[in-house]
Amino acid sequence: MTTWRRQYTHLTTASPKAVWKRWTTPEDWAVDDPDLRVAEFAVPARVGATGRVINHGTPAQTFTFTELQPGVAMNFRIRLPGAVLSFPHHMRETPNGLSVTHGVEISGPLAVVLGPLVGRKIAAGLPAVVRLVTTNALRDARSDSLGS
Amino acid sequence: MTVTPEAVDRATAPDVDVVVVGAGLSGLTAARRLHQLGLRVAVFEASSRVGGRVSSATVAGVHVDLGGTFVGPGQDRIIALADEVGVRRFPTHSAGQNVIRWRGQHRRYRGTVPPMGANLLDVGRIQLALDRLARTVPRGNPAAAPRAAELDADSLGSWLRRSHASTTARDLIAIASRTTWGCEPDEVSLLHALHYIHQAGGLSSMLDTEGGAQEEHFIEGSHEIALRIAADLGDAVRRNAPVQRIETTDDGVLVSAGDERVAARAVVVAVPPALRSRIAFSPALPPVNAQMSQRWPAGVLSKAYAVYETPFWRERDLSGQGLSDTGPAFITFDASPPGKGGSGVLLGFVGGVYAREWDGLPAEERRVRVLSSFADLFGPRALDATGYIDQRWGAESWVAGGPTAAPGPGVVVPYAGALAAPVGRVVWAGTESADRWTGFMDGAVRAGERAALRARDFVPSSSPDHARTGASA
Repeated sequence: MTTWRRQYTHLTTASPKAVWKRWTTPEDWAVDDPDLRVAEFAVPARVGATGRVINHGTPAQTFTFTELQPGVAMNFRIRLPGAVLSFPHHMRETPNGLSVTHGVEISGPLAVVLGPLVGRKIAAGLPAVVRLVTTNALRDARSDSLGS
Repeated sequence: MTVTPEAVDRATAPDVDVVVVGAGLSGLTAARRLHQLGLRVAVFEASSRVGGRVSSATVAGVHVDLGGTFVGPGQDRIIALADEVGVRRFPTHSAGQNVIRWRGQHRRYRGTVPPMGANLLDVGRIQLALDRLARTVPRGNPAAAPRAAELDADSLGSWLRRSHASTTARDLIAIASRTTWGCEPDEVSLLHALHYIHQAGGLSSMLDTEGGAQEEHFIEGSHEIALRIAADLGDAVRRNAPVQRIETTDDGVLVSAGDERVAARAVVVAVPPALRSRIAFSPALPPVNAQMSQRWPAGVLSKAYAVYETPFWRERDLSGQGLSDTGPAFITFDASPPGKGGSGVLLGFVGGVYAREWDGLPAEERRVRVLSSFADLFGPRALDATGYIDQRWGAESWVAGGPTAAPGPGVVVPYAGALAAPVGRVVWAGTESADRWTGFMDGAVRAGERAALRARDFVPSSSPDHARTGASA
């Protein structure tokens, strides 16, 4: 099966806990992703649960969580005609900081077509999303420490 | 106009011939030239150091330029000044392959043109169109360009969209915009961009390393030029002395900085346009000058340096020059000191939209993100820096941004004339007022030299003070 894949990784001083909170709080998704207007899902998120996302200018789409490892990985998928769109998220502590990765994968018979058509635009937005997730995670941590 | 008798008396018998406000390269050049003409000068610098937008630091034993760094062909005034004060140059390292991270993929290439496939044709088309349009804008007088108001009403970004530039061409021009003006293409007047490009001799001359404006560095650093000029001027240079007020009388000026008031025949104001409005002028400046100062903001461009035990990228035949569409460091250079066997230094620029976010991050996060950018381009060894420093010019209160001003649409035609035209005995300098290489160190020097000659005209040749050679008041 053909899979089209892109990802973006950067290092940050944000904590895994703070990043994980951004990944699993529906209100944070639209703040961290400039293309996203609304995200709705039940918390706490769990594998197999479904939710809904609406991008600016596009109809609502239903997604399903496929992986949730607190502080490590999160993934969800959207079924498209002839392909499955997945959004793998990973984080890993390294000696140089927390490595945070967001990716986009398209698999299925139409992946070869949808990759350049749909995937490329999503991939172009990944660096901005990772920057916003980690910047806002740092800000959350500062707010928490000021409030404690 | 209200002029006190004291002011008249003091202006009649001036303390110095010319006061210079601002000890950046432009102000110091003006002061040096006036001093060389035998005039007495006093230089007031608001901050604790001289140099303005040139500054330096030592990181892990290596000198780095925190502000203006590069010089290239045609920038003969800054080169002549550096030669005068004994600051030497060396070629920017460019041997090897450049690297680009674009659309999630890494590629190596040689020369100045990145491998963009079919998009390259469109990039060439846009560059050609910009260069052609730029040549229609007269140097030093952009408002006289054909269709000037129309060009000024556009931003560079809106022009790119209207020209049906491909996404790749738009993104590449955005990199040039962030590096050149510290802003996104939508934020800068098309007329200003074209004028700037023409003054710099075209896009290639402006952006290239070999044969372009990034061709050489200074061995002792660009800041050393300012330091040596200031040392020559001695006590004439007052640091930590922000000028609050400039009064003009019939035959002189009275400049106030804190408790000190100095009378002179003329004043050269060599601060960035946006900072001119921090000075109270009496009589008030014409409205067009005050409005220009409000509408001629500095861009936001920050610099980050990482020092390594060796320039490890050269082992892999990489030049250290990189481009990235992810940021925060979106363009890099090898800024290693000259000679073999020494430390390696990578310089990264963080500008425009990237800088607005990155500048506000904690210091350690800024460091981690820049090293992550470097590693993205040059591999994981880029994470093992032995030293790191960054300079956020937007956080400097007496500079307020960099590398130069980025006026928005609709501003250039009505206000560009106020950049350089003297107002009575108030003569303007600063790189933004240059008629060539504006925004560069060379423009700063040119503007300083021009301002010195204009200010000299206000000093009566019969003045017994005229023949003096002492620099200090």
